[in-house]
Amino acid sequence: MVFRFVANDPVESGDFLSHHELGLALQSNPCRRCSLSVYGTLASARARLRLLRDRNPDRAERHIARGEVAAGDGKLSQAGRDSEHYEWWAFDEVVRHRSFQVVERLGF
Amino acid sequence: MWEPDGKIIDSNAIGSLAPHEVLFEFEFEYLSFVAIDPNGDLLLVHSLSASGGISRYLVSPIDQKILCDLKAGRLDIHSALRQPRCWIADLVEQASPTTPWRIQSLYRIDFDSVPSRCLPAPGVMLSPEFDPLFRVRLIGSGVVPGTTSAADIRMAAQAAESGLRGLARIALDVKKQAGQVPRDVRRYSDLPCQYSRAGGFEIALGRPRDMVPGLDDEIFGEMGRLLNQGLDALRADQDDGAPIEGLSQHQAAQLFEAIQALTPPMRGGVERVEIGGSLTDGLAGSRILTRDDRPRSSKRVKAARKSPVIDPPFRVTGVAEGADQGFDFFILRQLAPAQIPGLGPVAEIKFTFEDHLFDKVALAWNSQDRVAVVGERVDSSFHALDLQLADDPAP
Repeated sequence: MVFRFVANDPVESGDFLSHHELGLALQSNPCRRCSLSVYGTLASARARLRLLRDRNPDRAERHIARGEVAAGDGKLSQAGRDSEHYEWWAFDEVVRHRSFQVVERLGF
Repeated sequence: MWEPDGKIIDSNAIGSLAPHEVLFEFEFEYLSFVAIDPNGDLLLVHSLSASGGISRYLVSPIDQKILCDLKAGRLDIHSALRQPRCWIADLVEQASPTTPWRIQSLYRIDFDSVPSRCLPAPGVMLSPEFDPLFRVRLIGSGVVPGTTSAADIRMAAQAAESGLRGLARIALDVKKQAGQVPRDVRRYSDLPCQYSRAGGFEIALGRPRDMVPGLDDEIFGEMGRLLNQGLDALRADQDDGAPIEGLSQHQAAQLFEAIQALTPPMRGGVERVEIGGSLTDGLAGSRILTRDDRPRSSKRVKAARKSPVIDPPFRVTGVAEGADQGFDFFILRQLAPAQIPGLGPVAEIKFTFEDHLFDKVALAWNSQDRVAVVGERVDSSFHALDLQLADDPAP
């Protein structure tokens, strides 16, 4: 079970596009740009989103969604200093947002 | 995306904005970084918005001192970005192995033209470790620059310190009961001031300078949890005397006293108090305390302290020979008289005391002079109401 920041409720496919697909994070590692960030716990996701909201409020999504990433959905790897942050490289043809539902709406 | 209010200039005017030093990274995207302009001077580059393949940044020229202050937590991001000259840079992707982006548009702007919803709030620091632990902001018709009174400013500082002290006492009690050696309650309440701000007066307190990872985090975490629990109970539709889970009556009273200390006074120019900081991260409800919260918290305090004083105040002299590390009680020995009303002969009395007696107690404990204590018995505890040097001779 993992958590991801999303703009829409209910979640849409557009909430599950990588930086590469969005044409963003242009200075970042090209491999990492192709992954999707997810978090292992709701608490860590909430804390990270608040961090972003405080520093870059217009970049912060409004909701946190929960879903499952199964073995057939792609590769998952812990990344960065936050032990609850994972990168998900989704396999082709996977409907990435299929199992995800919004579980928290942050009040800002 | 919003249209920048400024003049479009040559997109190469300030260089390529290649990151020279990354300051804040989120999910591997560089959201705040330092770049170097064509003259070799520093530029602070901060992500504002992103949409439709365009990454929009605010670019502000800075110097080494600003950068050092920013990284050391002495300057917040908003203040560092507010410079007399600023630019908005829109970056888009380009097919190049060396520089996979280019500046599509560069605008010369005034800082104040940037929509506030895109900027970090004043006071937000680069690194979360420098974010205030606890903030109190006064809101009301009497709280404007040039008008906020010294009394209201003192109120803000006292509210923060008193509120934290009450929460720390309970949190440290829990540690004592678990057999852990607690630290001085003041460590968790008399915190360093990080900044204060005049418009809508605000005071922000940071963590102790010599933060001990582990125990200190646990105490502050417990204080935040208690604050959340207390506010939830205050705002729930429950009986004034409803118990607070996990707390004794005495602790519940302390909790509501701590919250009461944070509420605005019933009269005057301060109408609401907003609390913030990492201590409030777990708060599910509103962070704004209103005048309604003051009588509500007062009722909860009274309900929790409904056990009456058993005996009237008494006077006893002695020597303050013991105190705990937290210094919220002292032990009086060499008593005169040795017989305490309602108790009989005792060799020592352990007195708790309020903060206003701290200096006198510290002096008595350090000097070992005989002191006269006026105290009262509440249930099975003794509480000092006053303490003075004694004229009475030793027994």
